Amino acid sequence: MWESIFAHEWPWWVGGPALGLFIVLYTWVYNRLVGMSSTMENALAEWKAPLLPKAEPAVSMDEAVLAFAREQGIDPASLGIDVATLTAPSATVKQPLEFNPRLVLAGVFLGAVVAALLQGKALSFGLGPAFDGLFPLGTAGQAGVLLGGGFLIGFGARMAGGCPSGHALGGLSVLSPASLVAILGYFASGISLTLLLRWVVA
Amino acid sequence: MKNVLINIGMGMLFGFIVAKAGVADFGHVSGMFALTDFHMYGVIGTAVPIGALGLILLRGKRGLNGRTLPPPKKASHPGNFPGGLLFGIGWALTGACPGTSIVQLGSGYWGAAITIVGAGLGILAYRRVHKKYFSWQLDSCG
Repeated sequence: MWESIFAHEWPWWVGGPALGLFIVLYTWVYNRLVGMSSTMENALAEWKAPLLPKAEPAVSMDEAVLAFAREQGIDPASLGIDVATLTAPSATVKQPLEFNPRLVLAGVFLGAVVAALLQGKALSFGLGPAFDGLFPLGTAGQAGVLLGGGFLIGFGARMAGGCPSGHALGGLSVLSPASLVAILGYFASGISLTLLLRWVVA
Repeated sequence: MKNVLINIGMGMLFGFIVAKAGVADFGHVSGMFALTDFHMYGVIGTAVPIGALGLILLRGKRGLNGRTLPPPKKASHPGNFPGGLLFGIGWALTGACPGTSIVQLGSGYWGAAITIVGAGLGILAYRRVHKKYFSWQLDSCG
């Protein structure tokens, strides 16, 4: 059991369902779709802000609507507000969970480190034999490929409105047409370029 | 404190699963594009229906932060396809998307640090280009 979970890569029929369940958990926790390129963008945008903002008395959307309804003399229930749960003593002291992009990204790194340590992976510059085979360019050349490719994934993901974690895992799960179009884009250029590179190298 | 633990914990779970599922592996990504390796198709092909089913079951329920689930669909805009094309080139070159580049680094491939720097530059560059030339509304999530 230990061996098959921690020592080897998971087969697709384990990794896929695990990711699928993670999508659901993530949405339940944050009420947002999984997506790492926007998480990265938010992390960059907040770079200089304090990592842990001071807690302030939190007013949820529902509470704001409730206050508005009372002010205007409207029945809160007609606006879809559940007064009983909102005004319960436990609800008022509860701090809503804040999505914190920098902490999530730090976690992603740590999770991968844990997986690598348990698997006993060694450090290396290149991305493995398949990468070295496709780009037999030496360290400087490979660094150039990674910098240029990295730029394109950042630029392209924001232009497309998401990266594979956002469009394929998040967007397809809610059947977004935008995601299908973006994914067609990824594969159109990815397949063409890979086949071209393999033909050139061979 | 609970906030910090949940955020780091969710990140770690994602990083761990992505690493173990092999979707940050250059060989699998390249093989997916060369149509010689089924692994990535199997992972995405099982993750998406399970995720979709779960999100359907969550519909109308309250999430951890008390708001009703699930969030809105992603908005369509003219950048979806051209952005996807540019992204695909980068994905084929680095075997990574913004999330998996961090997983590659954590997995001990330290060249991925360069990919991450590149991705950061690309994200910042796009923000400038977008402000200057494009008018569509950017998605807040994804």
